[in-house]
Amino acid sequence: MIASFSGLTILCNVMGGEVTPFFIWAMYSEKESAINKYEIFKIRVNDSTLIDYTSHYTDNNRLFLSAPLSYYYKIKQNNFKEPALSFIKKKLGEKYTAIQPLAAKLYNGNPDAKQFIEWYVRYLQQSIGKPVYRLDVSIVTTHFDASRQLLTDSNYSLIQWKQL
Amino acid sequence: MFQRTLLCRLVFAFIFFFLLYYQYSNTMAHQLQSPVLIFPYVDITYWIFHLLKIPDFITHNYFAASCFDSLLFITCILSFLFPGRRIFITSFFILYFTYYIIFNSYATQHTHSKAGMLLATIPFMVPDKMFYYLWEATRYFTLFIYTDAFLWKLLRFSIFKKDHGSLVIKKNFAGFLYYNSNSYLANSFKWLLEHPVIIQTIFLAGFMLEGCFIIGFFTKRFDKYLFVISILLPVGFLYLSDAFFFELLVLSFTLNVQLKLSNAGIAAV
Repeated sequence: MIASFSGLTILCNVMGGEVTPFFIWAMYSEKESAINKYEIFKIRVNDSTLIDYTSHYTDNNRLFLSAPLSYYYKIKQNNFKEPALSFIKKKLGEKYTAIQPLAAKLYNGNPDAKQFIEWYVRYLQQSIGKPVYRLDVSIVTTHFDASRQLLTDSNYSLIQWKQL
Repeated sequence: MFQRTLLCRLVFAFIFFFLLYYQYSNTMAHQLQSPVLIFPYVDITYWIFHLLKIPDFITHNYFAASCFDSLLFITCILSFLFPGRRIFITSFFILYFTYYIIFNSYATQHTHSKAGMLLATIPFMVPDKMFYYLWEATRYFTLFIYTDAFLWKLLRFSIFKKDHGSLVIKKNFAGFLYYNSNSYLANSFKWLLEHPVIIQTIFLAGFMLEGCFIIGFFTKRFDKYLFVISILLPVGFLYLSDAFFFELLVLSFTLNVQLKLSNAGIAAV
């Protein structure tokens, strides 16, 4: 059992792709891109309160406040098509048709923006401990100037929601 | 078997603390508010769980999610109270593995740090005569984790890029600097960004510390130092990469408490 677990873990590392629980423990080994462009979520609730998701919550809570939002942004950029499906389609080419029914069951398909936003409002309400009747999420694009100060370049509105 | 009992209690006390942390963090299954987006990515284990609709059933049914979370806590407590009853430990393992898949699927990010708590419970699921070997295997796996991190950085050559550390800080803390530009912590990052050589030196030091774990494959003489390093590294990951790896500390027990087979059974060294 130990030998097969070790063998499969090493195999995954050699192949460069992981299958749970045979992990690659790369820990920030990727080469970082030098593109000076950083996108930050600006989450505003009930017209005035700005939610600083970067410091006022535990690490796990922060992950749930930001990562699904990032994923939703990717989906929106991909014309509301699941990015993972586009990735698999590109990798498999014509062979994709063989796994298409399975993939359609597994992934988000064409995710519904309304459903996601309603979920996000519910989760946000629980995290901040107060009701949310209006939500505005925008993506602020920033860069570091020569003196390492963070400067804002543009603002893109990702979510605008109001309780009916 | 006193040693096994003590270790089991130590591991499950650690896990219990983190279950409380998940509860406080609003990330237990019943707190996920019926999430919409899933991220099984290209991982066959996630595919199986999602094809069977297990994560969906648990998280989209408040009663099922509450029962699931309660069982997670109960089996953890029972494993602590009755370390000899392997049924509780095995039940906890199955539940925690399911929680692991749920967490990563709906967080839309496959994090690894929770795997430490999963792996640390395995030695306690087997009979006494196999426990020693699995505890040893877990120690080797702990060494492997850090060695793997060292080798990936070495082979990708990323760590030797002179601005690697600065870019990691900028990428992971841009949001923090935007919201908290005048805090002490933000000022410490700004100072570091003005001194990229210092950042790179710290990153290289971390890389070398990861490499130290290779020694552990050949001797146990330095395990107490590796234990200290295994505590320092998650602190460094948190401060410089905003990455939370503290759950992995449970595996460090294998470096701190060593066992030896004797005629009378297993003895602590």
